[in-house]
Amino acid sequence: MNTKFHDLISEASKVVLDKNVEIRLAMTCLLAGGHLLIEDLPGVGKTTLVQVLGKLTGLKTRRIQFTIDLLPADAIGGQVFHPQEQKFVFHPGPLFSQMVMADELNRASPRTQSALLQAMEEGEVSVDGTTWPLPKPFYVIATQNPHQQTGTFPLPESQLDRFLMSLELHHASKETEVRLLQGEDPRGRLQKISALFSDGEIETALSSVQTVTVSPVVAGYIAEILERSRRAGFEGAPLSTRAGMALVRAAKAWAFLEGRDYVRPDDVQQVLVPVLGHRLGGNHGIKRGREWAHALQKATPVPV
Amino acid sequence: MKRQFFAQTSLAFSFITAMVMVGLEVSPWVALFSLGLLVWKWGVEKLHWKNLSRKVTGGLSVLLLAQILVQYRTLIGQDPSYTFLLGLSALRVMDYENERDHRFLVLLGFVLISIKALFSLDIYWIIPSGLAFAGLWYSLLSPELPQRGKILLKVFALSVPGAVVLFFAFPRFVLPWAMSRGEATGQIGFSEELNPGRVAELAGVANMVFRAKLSDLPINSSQELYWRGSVLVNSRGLSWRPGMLGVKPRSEAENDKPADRHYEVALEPHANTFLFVLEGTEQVQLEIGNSFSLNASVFRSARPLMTTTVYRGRWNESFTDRQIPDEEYLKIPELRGQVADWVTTTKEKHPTPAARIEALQAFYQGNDFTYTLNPGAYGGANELESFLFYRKRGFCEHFAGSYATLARALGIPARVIVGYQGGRYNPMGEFWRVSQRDAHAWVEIFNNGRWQRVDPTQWVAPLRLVIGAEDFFNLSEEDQKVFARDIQWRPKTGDGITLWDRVGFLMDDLNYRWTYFLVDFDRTSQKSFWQSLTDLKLQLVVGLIFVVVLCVLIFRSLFRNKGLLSEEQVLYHAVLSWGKKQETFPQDAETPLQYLDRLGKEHPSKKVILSKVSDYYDRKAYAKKDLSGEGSKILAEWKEASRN
Repeated sequence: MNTKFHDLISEASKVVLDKNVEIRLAMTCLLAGGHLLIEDLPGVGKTTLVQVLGKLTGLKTRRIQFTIDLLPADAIGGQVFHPQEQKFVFHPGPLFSQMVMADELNRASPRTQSALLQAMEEGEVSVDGTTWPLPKPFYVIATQNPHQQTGTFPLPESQLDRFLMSLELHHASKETEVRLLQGEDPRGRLQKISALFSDGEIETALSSVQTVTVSPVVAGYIAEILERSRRAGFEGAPLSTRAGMALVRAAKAWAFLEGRDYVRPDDVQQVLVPVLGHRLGGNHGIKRGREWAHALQKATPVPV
Repeated sequence: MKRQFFAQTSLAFSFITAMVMVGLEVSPWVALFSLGLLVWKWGVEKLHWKNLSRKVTGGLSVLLLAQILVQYRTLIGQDPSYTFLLGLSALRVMDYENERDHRFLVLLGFVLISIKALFSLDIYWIIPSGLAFAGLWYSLLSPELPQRGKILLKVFALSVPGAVVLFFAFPRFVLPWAMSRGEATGQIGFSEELNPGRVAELAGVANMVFRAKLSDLPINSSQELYWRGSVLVNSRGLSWRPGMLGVKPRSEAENDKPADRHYEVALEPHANTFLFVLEGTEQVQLEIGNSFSLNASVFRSARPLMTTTVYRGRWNESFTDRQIPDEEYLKIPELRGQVADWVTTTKEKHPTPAARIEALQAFYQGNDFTYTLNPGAYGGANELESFLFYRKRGFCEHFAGSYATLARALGIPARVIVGYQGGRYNPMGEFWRVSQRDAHAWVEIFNNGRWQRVDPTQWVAPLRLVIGAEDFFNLSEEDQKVFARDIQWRPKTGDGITLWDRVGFLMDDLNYRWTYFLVDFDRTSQKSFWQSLTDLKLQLVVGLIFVVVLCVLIFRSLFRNKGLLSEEQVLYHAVLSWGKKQETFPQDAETPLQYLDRLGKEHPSKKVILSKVSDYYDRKAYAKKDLSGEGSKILAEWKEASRN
């Protein structure tokens, strides 16, 4: 099973260059059943990443470009009157996909943002009193510009919490850039690749992740991390128990990708910064949060 | 990072407490100097005043030292050391700005508290000292630590057994150069002279002199308590001087006399040798050191009493001094004027000693004398005349001094006794507390073949004796005058003993026990304690407790780390200690598996066994596989491998 995921990761890295770790983390997020927030400048390959993941996993993928005038109904869909039948029929919006790329989420109005985030949290959408379940798996990859940029509505802390992980996509390395500038376009491969997974396979993997075990030592390590974030003198926002549970979910998925059915502290360390960065940062921004997450990891001794 | 003194609440509070405790003992100039520096430091931190540079504070400390050397001509002793330490502390506070200064201040604070404790272990000092001590400790704990209070409590709790053992077992040394206050008199200020105003001066302060347990004695009112301190023999009219009292030889017969009662006194240090004893005391036994008795039932310790001293007096109701007085007891200076006239007339009128004694009493009762703490100064050749016939204002010493002189003039041997009268009963601790307020002087005359007590004060101000000095001097001057002779009158004291009184009694009692049992546990007490251990039963109990405590300690130290560790942890620790010896130290947040991997890379010869360890550790600790037995096998393998 996870050889397929390894194939997926190596295949994707051929399209999105220099983003090996990020691709792996994005897959981890998917397997943990969470949603991903990518914060970075335009032009670092966010869209390509989502496209290639969508293609390789075979999940139904849609992209929603968020703008300031986008209404909730534009994403969710709405009731449309059918004159022949004399009734309203629900037309699902682009949100009704398995993998949704919410591009530049922080440019949308808070109202639209919260409609999306609510759908992410609950896995279903209510329109005019009727509840419509979203497809499964349901994986949202939202991108946002660094919030210092003009024309953005930064996501409130409580909504940041809805994302399991946050990532930064850095600029490609110099060697890669040289290759790209010479005219090599890895996106060309995008057309040729086909899905590696058949229907339902991803869902099965998601439920296998649930069976990965966490030993008391590892749980204690995570609890210690939470405890240290709450001490006086630590700059970041104190972590909630929910943050700890998110860390466990992500570590389980990472362990699964590694082909194990139990979690090591090493797995926790691999996902620690992406999971905790946006939670610790609060209104100081994800960048500061990631620094604090690093510091927290360094300061917390691993139980022996 | 720069630190601020006043922002470190527990440090600032404790350190200033320690400074205040010492500051109360020093000359005002250094107290003011220190206070000024503290205020300045506060200003620097809160109001951004200019700070003194280290050069200036260094210079000031040299000046401080110079001033102390000029003032005391030495650095040894309590006062110069207090002064220097206090000044130095304030200067160090000025310099306070980093972690190192913090530690230095904490150390200095400990020194301040200890030197205070060295000289006064009163419970009233122990409480603030303890608080300051704990505060200094607390300030040392990093603010990042959770539950700092709990840690502090744990440290103190752990130190208790050690302190108890040290208390009983640590040898007490008596240092020949033990520091003295450098003054002839201690806190009590009692001296062996009777100048007009001397006793009144004593009675002006409320310092405690001693506590006495009289539960064995049939005494239940302060009126009956006459504490003899010293006997004065040389009359100068109104004032008296001690004169020579021979050392009384100790007779064996006295020691064997049965049916005596005992009482116990805990005397505050007074840097002198006076022992205050109840009238009727035959013999005194010091708990530590020697005492001797002088003629006229006066007792002295062999060395000055620098610490609280406990002694027992043997008391006999029927005991009286029957030593026949010599010529000394009739000597008086030449009398003049009205005094001489009065003596001549009285002598002619009353030929017998009994009649003369009555006439004397009538003289004090009939004249309108005023008993007051502020009689004004007497002096010159006619002071006796001026007191007896003109001003007639005096304190007990004036009445006693004049009475004894007049008695001698009439041919009756007399002497003046100075000491204390009365005291205040503490129902909580069932002891009498005698303070400076109770300072008193009275007379003994030789009549009918024995020495008898005569207290002229009781004719002039009987109320003083009935209600006790404490209550009497709390009255207004006006009330004292009006009610002095009205022994039925009582000051309004509210409804009996108030809660506040109770707290006072309780604290006083606690302090007594504290000084008695802890502070005075010196070499002799220690010796007798160890001797009492020869009692087999006690020995067994103590031995058992010791063994149990030892076992607990050993158990803790042994099993805290190893016994509770699981197999893979033991294995990992074995590898870790080997790795540390090879100078491969675990890094921040390095997981065990990462460390083992790194160790294997750095020591290729151990790579195979290390990966085995790593694999085992991984499965056991994280995958929670039941691998019983395998751990010890790998441990043995590892031990074998690590030896090569």
